[in-house]
Amino acid sequence: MASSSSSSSCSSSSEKKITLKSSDGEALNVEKNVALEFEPAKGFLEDNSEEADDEAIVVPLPNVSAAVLSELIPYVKQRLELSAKPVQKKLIKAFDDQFTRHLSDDKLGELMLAANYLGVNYLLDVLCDVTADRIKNKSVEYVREFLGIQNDFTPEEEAELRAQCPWAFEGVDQD
Amino acid sequence: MIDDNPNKVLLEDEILEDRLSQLPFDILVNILNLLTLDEAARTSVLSHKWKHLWKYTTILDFDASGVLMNVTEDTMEEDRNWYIYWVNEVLSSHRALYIDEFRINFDLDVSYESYITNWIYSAISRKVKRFELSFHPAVSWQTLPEIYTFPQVVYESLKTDIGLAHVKSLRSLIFDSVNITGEMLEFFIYNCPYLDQLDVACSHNLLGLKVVGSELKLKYLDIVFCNNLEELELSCPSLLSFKYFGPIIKFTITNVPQLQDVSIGGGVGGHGLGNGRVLGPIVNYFCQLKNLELFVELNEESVQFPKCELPALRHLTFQICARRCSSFLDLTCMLKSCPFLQKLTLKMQVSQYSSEVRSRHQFPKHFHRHLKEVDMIGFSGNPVELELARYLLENATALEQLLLEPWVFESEATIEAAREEARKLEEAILPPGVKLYIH
Repeated sequence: MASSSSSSSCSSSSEKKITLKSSDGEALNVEKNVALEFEPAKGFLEDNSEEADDEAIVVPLPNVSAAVLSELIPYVKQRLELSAKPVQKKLIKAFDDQFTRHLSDDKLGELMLAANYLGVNYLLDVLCDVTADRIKNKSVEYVREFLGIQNDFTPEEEAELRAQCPWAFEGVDQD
Repeated sequence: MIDDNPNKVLLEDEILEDRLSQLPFDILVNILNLLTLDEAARTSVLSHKWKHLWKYTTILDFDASGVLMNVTEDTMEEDRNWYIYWVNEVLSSHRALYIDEFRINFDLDVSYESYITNWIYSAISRKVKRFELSFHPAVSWQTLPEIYTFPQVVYESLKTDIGLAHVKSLRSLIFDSVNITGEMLEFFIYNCPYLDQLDVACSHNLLGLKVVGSELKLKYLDIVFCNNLEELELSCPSLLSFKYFGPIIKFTITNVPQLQDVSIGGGVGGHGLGNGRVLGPIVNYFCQLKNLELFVELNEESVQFPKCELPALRHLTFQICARRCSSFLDLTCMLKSCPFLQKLTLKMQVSQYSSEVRSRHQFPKHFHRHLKEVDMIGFSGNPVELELARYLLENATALEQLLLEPWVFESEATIEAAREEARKLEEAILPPGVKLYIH
């Protein structure tokens, strides 16, 4: 999918568009400075730097779906704009909170994998915080459900493990 | 001896397959680091793949503040034994070769020294970055407990080549109720190139300390209640924050261009202001401070403030200890030296006010145009306090909020009387735009 802006508009790099191709084959147009925040895209662009027309470049991101990318792109874009200004950390924190507050547990997991694959460390840190907050002082059953883990212990094995660190199981909230 | 394999190599074959399965090992450990040790350990029963993961957390914060809050002399022995058991159990399972934090905080005396010494070895051999040993008594014992002494033999082992390689990672060191000498502290200061925080409280063996060096990274230094300290020399361009509470000492301070937060005081016979107390040469650096906390002793005599200007000061705190004092208005002299002050906090411990308080109705005028917030902690509604409150309400023209908060340990009747006085003040003279908070 080609950018709708005219080809003469290449005055600054931030206005240049790059095409990202998601795991499910969709093409998404993003500003070059946003694409450069994604490590695999940055590497790909460096490797293809002799290509005269950026708009002809299609960067494959085979590990991230279009749905996840379309959540990530506006986040990274706004976050870049925020960090370009001399804003307080509190504002960035508020922005991050706003972004993560309504994430479903599934989406949180998908975004973490994507942020890790794309090397967006500031987002990964925030998502780690959110994950930890959501499993804080929860029962084992709750955490298993939250992380989508299949319990592969027999009841005897699990009881034995619990007996190995009884101090850890005192005073747990029931979800 | 520590080998160079990073922690993650040990789990390479244990690939996780659940929702976070593709996340690298260290990210999962990061998540576990954000949990308490108990929460992290509980993940061992999630599934086979999580069984050992918690053993690689890099934060070992043995926080038992919940238990500490409820200990009594009767339960103390049992609680101490539980704490020792807990720390030892975790350490025997733990497998990470490097750790970021190791924090011990419990009421333990010298009788547990063999355990404590082993913990020091455990932490240091894992190249700990933030290390804390706090043994502050949780109950007031009738006879003072004999506190743990940092062992000479540990110190000797740290001075070897291997020991030096291990302590180099230290960034933060906190010792509370640990006897440690100036020589040992200086060893850490001069051999840990990244050390940026050093807190020492209640060490009887600290007699003198020299923190001098242009290449030091130290930013935060707290020396409190080291009652045998005689001499302290500071010359450290990186220093941002300095707190000293304790007896009057021979004190030199030079070359601290970045210093901005200072807290200084002591109990009876300590540093501070009033009653013949000395502030010492730190006054020379007052002009660059942003935050200052001062211990002030007030009685019938007036307090002499040092002649100084504090144009950068934003937050001033007075810790007031008063006996038979008849007015707090002396304190406002100091306010005049802080033209851009935004917040004033008063922590008032008054054993007795003068019986001859003559509350003035006319105050000297001196506008404090930037003061927005005043907290009076320990408010009892006494005329001496009310006089200061009225002075501030009249002269702090930009005031937005005034907090009047009695000490929580006061009796219900005293607290209610204080609240009653606060309400009267609110009705009588509260200017528009000022919010009064009564706690």
